[in-house]
Amino acid sequence: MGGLQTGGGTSAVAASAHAGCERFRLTDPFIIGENRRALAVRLGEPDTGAGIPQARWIRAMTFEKLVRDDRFAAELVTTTVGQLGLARPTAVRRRACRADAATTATELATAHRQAMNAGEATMLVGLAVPYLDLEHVADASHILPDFAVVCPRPGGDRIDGSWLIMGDAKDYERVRSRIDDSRMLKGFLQVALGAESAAAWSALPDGMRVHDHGTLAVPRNAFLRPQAVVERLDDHRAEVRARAQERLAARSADGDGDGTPRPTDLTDYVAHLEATFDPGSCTTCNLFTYCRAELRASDTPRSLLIEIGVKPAQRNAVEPLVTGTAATGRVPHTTLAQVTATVTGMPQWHHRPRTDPCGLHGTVNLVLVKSDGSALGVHGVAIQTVSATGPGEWTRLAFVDPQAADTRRAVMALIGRAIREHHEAGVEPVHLVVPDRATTDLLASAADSLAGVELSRLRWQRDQDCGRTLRTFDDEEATLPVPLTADERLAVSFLLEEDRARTMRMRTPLVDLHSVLLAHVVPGGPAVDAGRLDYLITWAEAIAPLDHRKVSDTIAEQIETPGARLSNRASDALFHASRRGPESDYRRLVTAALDYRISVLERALTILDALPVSRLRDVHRALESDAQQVWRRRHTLQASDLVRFSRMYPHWRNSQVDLLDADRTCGDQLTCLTDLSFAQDKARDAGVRQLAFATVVGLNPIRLDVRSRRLGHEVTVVALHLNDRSLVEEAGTTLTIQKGSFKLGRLPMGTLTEIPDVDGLVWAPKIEPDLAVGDELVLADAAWFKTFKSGHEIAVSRPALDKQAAPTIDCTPESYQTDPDAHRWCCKSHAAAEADWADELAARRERGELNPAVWPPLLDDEHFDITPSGDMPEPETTTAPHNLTRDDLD
Amino acid sequence: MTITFTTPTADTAEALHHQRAAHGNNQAAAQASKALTDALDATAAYDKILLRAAAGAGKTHALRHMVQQALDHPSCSRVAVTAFANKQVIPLASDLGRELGADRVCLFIARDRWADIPPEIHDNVSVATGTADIPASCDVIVGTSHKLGAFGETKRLLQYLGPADNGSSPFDVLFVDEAWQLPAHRYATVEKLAPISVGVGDVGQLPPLEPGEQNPWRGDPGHNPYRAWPTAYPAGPTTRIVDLPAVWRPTATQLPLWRAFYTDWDQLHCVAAPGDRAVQLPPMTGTAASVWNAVADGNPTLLEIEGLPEPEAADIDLPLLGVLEQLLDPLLDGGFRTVTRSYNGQGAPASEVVVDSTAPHGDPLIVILATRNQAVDDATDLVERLTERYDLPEGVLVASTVDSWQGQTNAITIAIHPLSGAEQLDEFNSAFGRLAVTCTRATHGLLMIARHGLDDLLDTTPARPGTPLGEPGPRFLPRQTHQRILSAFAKGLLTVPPSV
Repeated sequence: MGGLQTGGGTSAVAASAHAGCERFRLTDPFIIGENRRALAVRLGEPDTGAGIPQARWIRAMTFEKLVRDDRFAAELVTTTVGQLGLARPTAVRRRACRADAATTATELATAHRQAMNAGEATMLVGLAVPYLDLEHVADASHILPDFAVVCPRPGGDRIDGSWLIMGDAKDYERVRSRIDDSRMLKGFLQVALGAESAAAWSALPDGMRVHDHGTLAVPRNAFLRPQAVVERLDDHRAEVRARAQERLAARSADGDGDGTPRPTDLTDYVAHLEATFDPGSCTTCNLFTYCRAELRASDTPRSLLIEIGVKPAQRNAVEPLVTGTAATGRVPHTTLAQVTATVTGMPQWHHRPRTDPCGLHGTVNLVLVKSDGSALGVHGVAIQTVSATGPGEWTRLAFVDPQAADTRRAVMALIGRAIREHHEAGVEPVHLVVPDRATTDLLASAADSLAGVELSRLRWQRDQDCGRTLRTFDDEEATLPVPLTADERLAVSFLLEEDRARTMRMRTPLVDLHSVLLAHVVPGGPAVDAGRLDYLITWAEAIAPLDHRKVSDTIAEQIETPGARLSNRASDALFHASRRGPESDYRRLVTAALDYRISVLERALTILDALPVSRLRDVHRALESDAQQVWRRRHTLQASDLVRFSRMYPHWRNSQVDLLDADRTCGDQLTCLTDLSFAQDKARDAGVRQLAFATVVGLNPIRLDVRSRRLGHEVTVVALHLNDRSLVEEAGTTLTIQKGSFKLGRLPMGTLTEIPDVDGLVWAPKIEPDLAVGDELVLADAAWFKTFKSGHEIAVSRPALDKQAAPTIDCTPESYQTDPDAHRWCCKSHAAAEADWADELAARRERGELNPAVWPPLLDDEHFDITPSGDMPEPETTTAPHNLTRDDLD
Repeated sequence: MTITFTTPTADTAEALHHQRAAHGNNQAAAQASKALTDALDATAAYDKILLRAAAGAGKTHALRHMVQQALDHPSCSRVAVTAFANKQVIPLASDLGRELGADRVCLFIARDRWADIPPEIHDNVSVATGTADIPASCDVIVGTSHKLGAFGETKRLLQYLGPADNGSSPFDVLFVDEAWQLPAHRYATVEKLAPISVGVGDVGQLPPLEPGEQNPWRGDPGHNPYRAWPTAYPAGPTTRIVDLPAVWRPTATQLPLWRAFYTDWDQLHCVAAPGDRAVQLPPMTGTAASVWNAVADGNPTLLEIEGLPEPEAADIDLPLLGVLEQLLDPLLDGGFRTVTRSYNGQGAPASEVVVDSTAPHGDPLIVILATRNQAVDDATDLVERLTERYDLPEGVLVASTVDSWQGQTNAITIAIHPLSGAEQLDEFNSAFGRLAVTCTRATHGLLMIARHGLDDLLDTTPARPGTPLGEPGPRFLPRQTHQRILSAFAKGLLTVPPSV
């Protein structure tokens, strides 16, 4: 690869992400003359994590093609221009720049003229713009924005010139209808580099100005239909400018401008650059393997701590653990356990009994294999119901068309049937147990997609009944979809209940097994590796010391993965099998993927089975059970049950505030009561005043050395843990599940008293625990809980049930029809609500208040998956450039 | 040891002072008043009138004027005035009572907060704890949003007071002071009290949500219950928004810092002109002299300190507070005076007011602001030690949380910079609303202290997405925002052990 490689737009993101690493900065292609991927090969540590699965690449290319497609170009231009408060253009054109700077300059000039003379807006696609300040370096590679918009720039009553609004296309996945902020940041940094470079380009026509906002085309829904998001770029431009200037300064640092060390020096050169290694964030750098190998080769304790990702501020405190002496300083228990596990090779267990429902009657185990080809694509699913007699048989399904709506419906039908069977057996609450967070997100997003179609169907049904044409948000003609079956609807309703409840710590309609296990065991090695359930299990099952590096490497090299997402190799194998056939090959691969996931899930359940169960598990079950009763009323009356969290009404959202507060406090208190490690971390945290460590320094009377600046003289405290025993779990402690709280009795609680000339604080609990000098206690401020006159009881308040916008216990299917005003906010069914909404939309359309008549265009924030118009572009079968990684797309 | 402080690098675009600055505010207030009159006349369809201000713009004065104006209007028989906290409501009720008479103004307060009412306020206002106790003569009812928005309160008000002139709601206008401090979910409980809401406040204030605490609607385009309620109402046919373009509180040299927080303000001017404020220091030497001279100059001052032992947590930093204590020792021992030029209502300079730390009056002289519980406890301990050591009279030295100091004014603010000791940018140390409140309380001087390394941190930390100030708003990057703010500070470095 010749010439000066700028790295294009993604270089801005990478430079920003790795700004603190000298080795990254000084191995810039500007300095060494080749990209880091090639450098890693030359250094003997190639980046094995690089590469993009074929299906993922095709999805990205398809999206870019859609952005350039005439059907969507006009929509992207008008919504961009409209969001900026500019006038409606007289016409919208599209012009291709063919990734060539000269053509881009020509097309910019043409678009500028059209804006000035005719008030038109132009979408330029496939631009090439010289990298910031490298316009006159002949062989410097250009940055290649996917698109930009040129439109009239008003000045009073006339057109003063044109705006150039830089843009880019990113097929970021919507998870539960949202694209997370960190992805949007990456996208807009790329847009900003385009804007900065364009602003500095001498070929920009006179009178054309780069707008201070940029536009990012992202998928509006699972069908990849693009939508323009417009944001101000001031800070993004400052960020990329600073990073670009840093790179350019480094390039010219040696005076001759090209800064290229002799290739024979490279090994030595790189070795002398200081790396700021973090196993979590460095994986996006091609030199990750090189830097890790360097750390692994070092025998200093510090290198090991860096390798496993211990934070710099904690390294001094835990270094003695590596050398075999005790730890010093304030370090969270998890970090201590991580280092201990790494050094000893044995897993470290938190002192907490189980409160999760995994394996209980009423649970449904589920694993699935997500397709890289679409946000909601599923290759296969397997499901197992746990009845009173134990786990049943696994049902496996493989889908030859992962992207199809029918596939999603089939998954829902399976889940719905399992839930229905539990309900029919009178079991409550029901929990869906899945191996990771990505699985829950995919299920909830798929449910939302189907709910959107179902709600649209109800609206269109009304239109059809009234003889109106069925219209989408963008005024395209729609066809009436097939209704959801009862089981499908039950599953969709359940999963959207999970979506609404996901902010509640105490709610568990879906249980992420990985999080459950992680709350019990700390593995060795990098904390980021513990993000995989099979890695966690390998540690949890260890009966002999493990080599953490070997475990990490083995797991990373495996073709199979435990959660929803596939490894690159597995993804490509499925892609090729589905393309080339025979179908049996594809099905075999899907089944193998499912089998691996099932085995991991079952091993995890076996590990959990061996752990003690907390008496507070009943408390958790009671909370979920009561909450599911409300949901079942919603489902039965089909009222407000097909609404995801981000579509709930303002009134409901307002009422959630108090519920969230109560839920958070309840969660914190219950966890502190049972989980010693959690309570110890809280007691160790200087910012937490409610808990503290204490050591027994005397008996008769009990005297405590309380390590707190807050819990002192005349403060009443309750002991939660004695050495490694949770006092709540002791047989003597009473537990009563009440309507408004969970009451615990016979706990040691008393006031601390300072007595002059006496060491420690005297503590006189009404119920005296059996103590010895030197015993360690975790104390809590009794005022944190509700207390009673008895002097030995505390209560944890229950969060109220989410009863807003939900049917009451007295509502019946006829209630709304009988008295619409009284039942408007509780049990009005979706069918009635959508019929009203269809009438309202028809009236608005009549008045010209909807797209495309209205200006500025309305923006779709529902992101419903209505059927795309016309054909999708034919996917290209090109493979991803070898120097790109998944990070370049996601 | 002498410390050299750098000169702030922030742009100091031309600023207006005195009458020219105050004139803009008076004009803006007049526009808001006109909008209220138009709404009551029913010649405009406004149901929300929002008077937006930077901190210390004299907005509460404008609110009182509008209350009077509303009561003088023939279509307005009764108004409610609310705010988030009693500490805002009580003085506001007192001021209104002084202007309108105790028989017309009722402070409506929870029974268990009766003790919070200073005795002298009872002379100015009627006080009621139950709806039935509100005197019939009162046409201004002042209470917190919790009190006025209590379950069933609208019904009770209608039952005992009857509807106001509009015929259906108990009030014709609802005034919300410190409106940007009131989250949407609380405003929802009082919104229906009147057909017109007038919100007056500082856009840089904090709705009561801890950074890092769950706000599941962050970034959601729909209704966000935690957001300041006025942000849900963009200017339009039913919403009139007026900006106050000048601030009364800061020194002229602090204005660039204020502008760094209010970047989307078209213009921001400062009534105080250079030389209008001064801090007269006792004879001091060494580090303390350098630091307090820098603060007394009026520039926002940042003192970075290196060589300290490790703190318990980045923001719970006893060694750093130890340095502060050493710096405060000679200042409090020798005593100091603040000199303040007073102005008439039009911003014209009048006499000088001198406050001596031996006999303070008016706003507190020095306030130490801290972010969270234990940090506040430590600051309070420091204040108690120094108060005892130098037998300080009340009003010289105070400690408070940032959140509860909102809306308050003091001469000198001292705080630990949120990036002190940080390893990276996160949601806690990039909560700019809290930083804005910290930086905009002082009339004379601002001292931020931090462990050394802020610039390095900001140069090398990975970029992260930012939370817009007050949401919604443009997404920003915390790195650039911090850099913009820090460029308004005079910076110095102290290496310990200091010879203060």
